[in-house]
Amino acid sequence: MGKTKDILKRKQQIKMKSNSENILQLITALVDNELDSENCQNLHAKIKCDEILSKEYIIQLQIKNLLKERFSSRKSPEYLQKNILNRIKIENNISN
Amino acid sequence: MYINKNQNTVDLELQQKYEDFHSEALPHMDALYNFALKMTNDTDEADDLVQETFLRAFRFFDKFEKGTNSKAWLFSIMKNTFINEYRKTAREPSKVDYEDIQNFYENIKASEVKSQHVQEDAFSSLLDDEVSEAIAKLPEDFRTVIILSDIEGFSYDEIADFIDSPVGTVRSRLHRARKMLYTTLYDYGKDKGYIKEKTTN
Repeated sequence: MGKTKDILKRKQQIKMKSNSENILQLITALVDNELDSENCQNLHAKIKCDEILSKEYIIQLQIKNLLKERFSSRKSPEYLQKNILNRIKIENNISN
Repeated sequence: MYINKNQNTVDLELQQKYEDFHSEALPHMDALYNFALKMTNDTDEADDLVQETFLRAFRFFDKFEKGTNSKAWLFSIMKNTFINEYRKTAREPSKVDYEDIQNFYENIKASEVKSQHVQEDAFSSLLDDEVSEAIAKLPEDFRTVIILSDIEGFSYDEIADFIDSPVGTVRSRLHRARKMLYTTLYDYGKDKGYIKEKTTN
């Protein structure tokens, strides 16, 4: 009897863990604009009144913005483009 | 005379192929370079990877369907080049031990992140090189998704195609990758004195 109770308790814990994991990952999808509007609204409402979810949201957003701002507009070096085009021309006998 | 005419046709076709390739592929060079740089964390290796990708892409440009997503096509060539060519000769890829990731992740749940960690400007003092170093330290599977999403702006569907995994895996890896990066950067900022922990009474 006690063993069955333990198993049920464990199953319940796994289910709860999996649910909370799901919500956290939905926050990631929210930050990435990958949720439909209904889920978006529901999740925003949950985030507003839950400190843990709110922190998760800020963490995900902060890292996304940091990488976007710092690296997304970085240019490739000019010499690289020149080298590549030259090699394509040479390898394929393309005249200028 | 006939041979000359044929040769001229071949030349013209090749010239046209080059021009089409130039307008279709070249606009994505910055994105590919960024990705290569973040995957290799070395400018010379990134140069080689981008160069090899574009040379291959030109070779197979006849197979590219016009009007489809050329950026995704180029990225898939880069992925294969990275896996088949670059990774063989460069350093061994970091093997991902998902159990280790799980353990790490368990230790940085939001409930355990102190409130003062979550500051709007927490990472503003970090140098680009410091952020790059932290990205480079992420296990490859996690680094790939975070670069594709946050730097290259790929959608979940595009990333799922790229890594041959379901969208759920993309979301889960992305979630964990950001969390790992956050913790690494926070510790880094604290060590360097950029971030001062407030003491709560």
